[in-house]
Amino acid sequence: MLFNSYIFIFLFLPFALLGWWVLDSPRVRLAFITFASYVFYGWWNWHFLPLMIASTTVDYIAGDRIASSDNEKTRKLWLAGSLTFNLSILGFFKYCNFFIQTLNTGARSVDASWHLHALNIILPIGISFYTFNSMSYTIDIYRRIVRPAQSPLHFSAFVALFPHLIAGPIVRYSDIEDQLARLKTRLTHSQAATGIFFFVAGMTKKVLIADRFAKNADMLFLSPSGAGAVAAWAGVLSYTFQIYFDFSAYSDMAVGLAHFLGIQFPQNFNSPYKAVNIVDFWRRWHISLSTWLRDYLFIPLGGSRGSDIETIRNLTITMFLGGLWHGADWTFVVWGLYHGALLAAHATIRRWGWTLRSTFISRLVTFVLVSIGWVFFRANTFTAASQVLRGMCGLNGLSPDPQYLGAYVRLGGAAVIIFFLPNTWEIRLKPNLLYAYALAVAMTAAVLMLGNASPFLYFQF
Amino acid sequence: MSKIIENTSLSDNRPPHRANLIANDDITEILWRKYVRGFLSVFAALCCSIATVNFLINPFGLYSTRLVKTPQWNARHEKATLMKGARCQAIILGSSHAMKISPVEVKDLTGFQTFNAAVDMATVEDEFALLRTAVEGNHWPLKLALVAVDPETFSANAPTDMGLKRDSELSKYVASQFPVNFRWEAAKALLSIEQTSVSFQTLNWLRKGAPSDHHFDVDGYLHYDLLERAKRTGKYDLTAQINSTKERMAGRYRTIGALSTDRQKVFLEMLNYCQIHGIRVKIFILPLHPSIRTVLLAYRYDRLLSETVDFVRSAAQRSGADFYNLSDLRTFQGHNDAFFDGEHIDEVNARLITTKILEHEPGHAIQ
Repeated sequence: MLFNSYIFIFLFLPFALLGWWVLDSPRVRLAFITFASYVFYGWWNWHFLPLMIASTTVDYIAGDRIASSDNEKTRKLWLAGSLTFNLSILGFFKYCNFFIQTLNTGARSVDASWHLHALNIILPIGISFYTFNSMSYTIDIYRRIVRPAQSPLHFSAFVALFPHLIAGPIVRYSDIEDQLARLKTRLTHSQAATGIFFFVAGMTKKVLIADRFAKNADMLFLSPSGAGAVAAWAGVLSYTFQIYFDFSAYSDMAVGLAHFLGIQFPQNFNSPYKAVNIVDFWRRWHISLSTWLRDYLFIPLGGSRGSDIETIRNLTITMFLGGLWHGADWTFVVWGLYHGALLAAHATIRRWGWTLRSTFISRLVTFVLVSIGWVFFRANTFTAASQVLRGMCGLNGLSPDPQYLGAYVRLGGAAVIIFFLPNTWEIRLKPNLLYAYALAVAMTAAVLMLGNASPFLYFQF
Repeated sequence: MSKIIENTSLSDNRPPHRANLIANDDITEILWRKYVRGFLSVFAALCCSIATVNFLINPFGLYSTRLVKTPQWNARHEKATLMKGARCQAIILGSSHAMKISPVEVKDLTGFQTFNAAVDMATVEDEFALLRTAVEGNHWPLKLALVAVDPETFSANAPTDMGLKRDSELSKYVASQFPVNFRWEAAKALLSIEQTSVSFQTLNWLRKGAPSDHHFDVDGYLHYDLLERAKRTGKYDLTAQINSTKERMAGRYRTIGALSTDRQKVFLEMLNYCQIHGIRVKIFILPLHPSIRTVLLAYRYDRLLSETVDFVRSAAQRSGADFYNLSDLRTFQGHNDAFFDGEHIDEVNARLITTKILEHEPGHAIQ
C-alpha cells in the first residue's frame, strides 16, 4: 500500500488511528498496530509476510538469548546466527541473480562453456529496510546498548510499524524503545498538528514537486545517446531534485504518521544539497542509513582511527556496501565507490589543510559532485551512464531546444526551495488558523493528483 | 518549539529525538485544537465540495446523476447507443486515432454498411466488447472488421476504462481477464483531477453557453466541430496543437511499461471469435505525427511498436487476417500536416489509410 494512495488516506489510516487510540490495553494496541501493519505490507503481496514474521521471530529470540547470557561465546553465536539469517534472506532475495549474472559475465569473458540460469525471484518490498532495523536490534543488545524488547509484541510492533516499514527511515530499537514501553494514551493536539504538517509537506513534495521532474529525468536516462549538454544537465538535475523531493517526502510522511501514533522518528534529511563538502552531505542525506553504516560498519572496521590508508580502506568498504545496499547492480557499486573516493579525497585534503573559503563555492562544488554521482545511481547500464556524462561534458554539443525551457524554469523554482528555504524540520509551526487552511488546500490539491502519482523511488531498494 | 537541527560533527549527527515536537510553554493546547480542527474542517469541506460537484456534473457518466448536459468525454456509452439504431456489415474498431476513418468511404470501397465504433483510449477489451455488442447484442450480420491497434491497445498498465464497465450493454461483454471494482474506481474518481477539471470546464461552458467541441454522426463518425471550423477558416495552429500533445503522450507512454499478456490473449480470442462468425479482419497500425514519435523515443516507443507489430503480424497470420503496418506516413503516402494534433489524423490521412487497406476489396473494383 502506498502512502500516496486513496485507500491509504481514506480507509487504512483512519481505521488504524481509530483502533490505536480507542483501544485501552497497551498489549492489545501493540497487537492491533502490528496486525494493521501486516495488512499494510500484505496489501502488496501477502506471500512475503511469513518472511518478515520469520525475521522478527529469529531476531527476537536471538536478542533474548544474547541478553540473558553472560557467556561471550554463546552471545557471539546467537548474534552470528541472527546476522547470518538476515543477511541470507537479503542475499537470496536481493543479490542472488546479481551474483549469477556476474558469474555468467565472468565465464563469458574467459570463454567458459557453462552458464547459470537466473532464478525467478521477486524482491520483497522493504526487505533492505526491515532487515537493517532488525539487525541493529541484536547488535545493540550484544553491545549492551539496549535492553531486549519487553515482549514479542513490542518487538514485532517495532519491526512492522507501518510508517517506517517500506522505505525507512531505518529506525533503531533504541530510538523508540521508551516510546513503545510507555505508549501515549492520548494524542495531544500539538502532536497531531505536527503530524499533519509533516504528512502534508511530504505529500505535497512527492505529488506536486517530485513527480513533475520524472519526465525530464526519464527522457534522458531511457534514451541518453547523443544528448546535448542542455538536455543532459536538464535530465541529471531533474533526477537530482526528483530523488531528494521523493525520498525526503516519504521520510516526512513517515515522521508525520508516527506523530499520529504519538511516536517520534529521527530526522532522515537535513537539507543535503546545502552541504559544504561531501562529509557534510552524508551527515544530511539519508541520515538513518549513513549513521547505521557508520556505527555498524565503518567504526567496527576501525573508522578513522588508523593511518590514512586504513581510513581510506574503511571508507571504501563502507561505501561499497552502502552502494550495494541500494541495488543489486554494478552501477550502484560504482556510485558507492565514487562516494567512497570523494570521502577519501576529502579526508586527505583536510589533512593537508586545504579548504574552500567561500560557502557558495563549496556548496556548488559539492552539489555538482553529488549530481554527477546520481548519473551512476540512475543509469541502467554503464553505457548509458557514460553517454549521459559525455552529454554533460558537452561532447555532443549544447543542442539547445526550447522544450527544455520549462524544465529549467522548474529546476530554478526547485533550486530556490532547496537552497534558500528552510526544510520541514526547520520550519517553526505556529497555531495559526491560516496555516492550517493553507495545509488543507495543499492536501486537497495533492489528493486530486493521486491518480497520476507514481510509487516512491526508494521502494525499489 | 521545533528547532533548527544543526549537525556539525560526524560523531553526533543523529538528531535529537524531540527535534520537532512542539512544546507548549507559551502556546495553549486550545490553539492547537483549533488548528487541527481548522485543517480537518477545510480539508473535509473541500473534498466534499469537489466530490459533490463531480457527482452532480458527472462528466464521465460514472454515476446515476444527469443534472446537466455535459460534453461527451467518454464515447463508449454514446457509441453503444448509436449502435442500437444501426445494422451494419462492417465495423471500425480502435481508439480515438481511428475516429476519422469514415464509414461512408468504407461503404464506397466495400459496399458494406459500416459503423465507426472507435472509442477514446481503447484497449483490446474495449474493441472485443464493442464487436460482441454488434454481433450478439444487436445481431449485426458482420462481414468485415477493421481493427486499429497501437502499443497502447496492449498496455500492461492501462486500467480497463470505467465507461466500458459502466455501460449496461457493453459491460456484458467485458473479457473475464479484466475484472473492475467499479464502485471503488468510481468513488476514487470523485476526487480525481481529471474528472474535476472536466466538471469545472463543463460549468464554465454552461456559463458561456459554448457548444460542445465535437459530435458523432449516426454512423459513429467523429466531427471535431471547433477544430474543423478553425481549419476551414485558416486559423488552425497545428504546431501549437502538436506541442500540446507531447506531454500528454509522454505521460501515457511512460506508464505502458510493456505489452500485457492478458490483452494479447484477448486479442487472439477476438480474432478467433471473428473466424467462428465468418468476419474478415483487417488489422492496421495508425501513425503518430513524426515529431511525437521523436519525443516518444525516450519512452521506448520504437521497441513497443516493434513488439506490437511482431505480435499482431503473427496473430494475423495464424487467423487469416490481413495486417497493415501504417505507423510510418510513407507507407500510405500520408501527409505531415494532415493531423489535428500529434496523435489524431484528419480526414485526408484517414482517406489515404482507408484506400490503402481496402484497395484490393471486391467492392473497390466495382467502384
